[in-house]
Amino acid sequence: MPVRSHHNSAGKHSLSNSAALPLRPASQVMQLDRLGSFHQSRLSFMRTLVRRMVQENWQINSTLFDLDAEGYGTAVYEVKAKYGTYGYVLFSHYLDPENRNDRVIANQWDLTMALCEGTVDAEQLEFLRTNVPKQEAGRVDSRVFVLSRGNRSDRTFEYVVDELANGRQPDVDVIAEVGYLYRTTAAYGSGKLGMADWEKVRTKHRDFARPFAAEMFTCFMLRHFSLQHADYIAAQRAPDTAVRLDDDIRRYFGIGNSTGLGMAPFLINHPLLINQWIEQRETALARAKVAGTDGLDLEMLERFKTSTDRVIQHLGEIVTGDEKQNISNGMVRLELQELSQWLLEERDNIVSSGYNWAELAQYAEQSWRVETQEVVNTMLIELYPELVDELEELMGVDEDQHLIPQMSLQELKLVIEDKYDWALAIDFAEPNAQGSFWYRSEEKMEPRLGQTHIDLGMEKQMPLAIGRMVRECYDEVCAYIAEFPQQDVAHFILQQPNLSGAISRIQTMAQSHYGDIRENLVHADVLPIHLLRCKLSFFGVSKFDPRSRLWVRNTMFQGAPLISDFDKPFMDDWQFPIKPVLSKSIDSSS
Amino acid sequence: MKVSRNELTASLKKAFEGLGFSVGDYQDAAAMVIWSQMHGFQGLEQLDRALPFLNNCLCLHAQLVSNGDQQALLDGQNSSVLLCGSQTVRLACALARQHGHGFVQLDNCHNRMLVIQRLVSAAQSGTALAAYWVQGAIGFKVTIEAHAKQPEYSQYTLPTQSDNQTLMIFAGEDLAAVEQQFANQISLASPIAKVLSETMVDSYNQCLDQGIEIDQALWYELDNLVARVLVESTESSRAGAGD
Repeated sequence: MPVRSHHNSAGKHSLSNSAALPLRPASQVMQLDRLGSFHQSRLSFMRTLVRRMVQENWQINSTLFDLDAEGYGTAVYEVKAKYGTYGYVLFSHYLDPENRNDRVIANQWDLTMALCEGTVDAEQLEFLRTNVPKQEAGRVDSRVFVLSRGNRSDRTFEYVVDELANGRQPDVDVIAEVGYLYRTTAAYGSGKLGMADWEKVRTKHRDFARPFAAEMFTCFMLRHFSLQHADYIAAQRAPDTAVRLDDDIRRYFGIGNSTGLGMAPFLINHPLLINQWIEQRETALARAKVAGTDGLDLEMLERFKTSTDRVIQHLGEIVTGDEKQNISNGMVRLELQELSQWLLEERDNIVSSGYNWAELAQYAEQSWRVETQEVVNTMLIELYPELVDELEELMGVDEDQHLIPQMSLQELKLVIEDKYDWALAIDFAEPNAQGSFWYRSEEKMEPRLGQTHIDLGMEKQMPLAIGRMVRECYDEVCAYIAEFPQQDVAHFILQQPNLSGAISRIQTMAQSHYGDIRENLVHADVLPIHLLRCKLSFFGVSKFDPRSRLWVRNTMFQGAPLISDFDKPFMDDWQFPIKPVLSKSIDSSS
Repeated sequence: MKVSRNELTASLKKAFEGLGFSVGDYQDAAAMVIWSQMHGFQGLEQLDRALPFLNNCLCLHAQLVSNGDQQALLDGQNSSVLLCGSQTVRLACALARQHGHGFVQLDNCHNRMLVIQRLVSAAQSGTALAAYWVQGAIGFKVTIEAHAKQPEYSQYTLPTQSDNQTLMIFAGEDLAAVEQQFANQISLASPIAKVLSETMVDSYNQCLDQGIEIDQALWYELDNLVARVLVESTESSRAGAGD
């Protein structure tokens, strides 16, 4: 890794003016494999939620913890946040292990829960008891923000309870293999099943006014309950010998998550929102690079090296049966070890030469795999909370596409050629180019990926093939222009009304910085898992464990503070969780 | 029963898709119904009346009959404004943007009350609009200033009955100019009824806070339409979800 002997000659940029920042081009950022290499950042929703809860010292207490000796029953928590009070209600049910299923099509779960507006009274609790355990088969009302459910980990729950009951702390190495006691399989919000609309939550409840804040909080509370649950059952089983789970180990527990194709259509159907998330992340990255333009000091380099070493350890501790992911994690570790070594050996030269982050990012792009590049970018963002954290308020946007009817068709044609060159470059006549199609199954409307001419339902496919839609629109526009060269969009859609949706999208996204995801999503070899991982990175998950190209397990809130930490000094550095180093007294107890 | 706006939007989009609407059409149609319902204009009742027709139509759109610099005549082919409304308003806006003002007359079109949302949406792009239609001996007029969030809605008693199914759209740079354009063509006495923007906002906020009331039979009917876009589940198709 070369160290420059002179200061970067690149022009100076203003940190406060996004338009002047050197944002990466859409042609680079919006490639699906890069989006599928993103990691959580300071702007991820779990990170911003935790920051808010700690900074505002939310008070969370259980007002009802009515469980039997086996841990089945009802728990209600009162949440006093800065702007309002909320109720979190959880029902714990016996579930035959044979019926434990993480798929959307499941209809029984170990735990079901709801996050509600205000304080939950006895009447509402009975209403929730009737409906929440049914999940999609029930109905709730606009007092409910989120409905969710969780399943026990076969590998850890009994083990942890057993260890605690026997007076021992669980082995961290065993926990590291899984990372959680329960995993959530869905968190529904945004008005589904009669719940409160997102607009109501956003405008009336500032505590949850950021995208997915209520959903993330619901999962955070599941984590809190899961730890209480393990303690409780252990104490019930062995009141004389049971010990409470150690706080360092508690922090190392997250909540598991399984995410499948249901998340993929969301990304395609909310292009302005995805553009907004990515633009803020890229702005954060650009600010970090600009902040280092004048060179780096030893303290900054030390922090960066510590962060690098932590990611190396984090990736080394991930257990996945997916060979491709294992190889990738291994390769990223090797490249990060190169970085760590370089930071160690060259730090004085790095400082004296005026080397900067932009040069490091450039080296990464030229020398390392995409996933390593994005790890480096995430670490750079992490270094500058004072420049980044304010962007968390800009992660929301109205998903409103507008057609511009007076635009001339000649201009529309140029817009497509300029902004959708990637779509026009796809050869849809190539045999595999349309080898897949997306559809909704009659089974809970679950989105599925079919193989063209093999699976049923192609005539009902979802309109997610944006590249193909643009190509079809472009061809029609060109044909129309040949006949009516002076015509506008309004007259064109009188002739081609079925293209109004395509044109609305094209005209709207053309005004955004990053626009659409640049991939043929109906190619036979499309990898939807990249879509899932992109969205999950903005949620803030870690430890990606692909189970196929269609779904992925991961961990939420692993390493995050506990509720009992809210009133303590807080270092917002729980990304890339690693095994805790336990004190001797705990080690000896095991 | 009560449903949320998001839930109703999702259901309506899929239901319209099940009826054969294309992507842009089903998004616009869902927005038209929801806006009318939430702002107190009985969008769901109008939809209920329209569904038998929509169920048996071929998703016909408006056709251009004649076209000048500042005005155009369209034939709605006895279709619904859910399919023709967007085209009509967009054409009026395009004419206004290109020539200062625009007038589009859409004949033979039904469910005209649902067009209001299209006016509100178009106004956000900086065009002032007015819509006018006649039902029996009542004239309906809706106006909205450029960039305004809420329209003004008025009803008028007319001296004669009319059974034509015409919708007129006037568009211009500001509402004063649009009103002048309107007055040049249509003369009305004082309104017999008005819906104030405060009333619309109150209705909207109540629906947002407490949910939207929908007749259960209509909800199930929408479910049946949604089912048209769903694909039968088989063991093989479950593999397409990750199993």
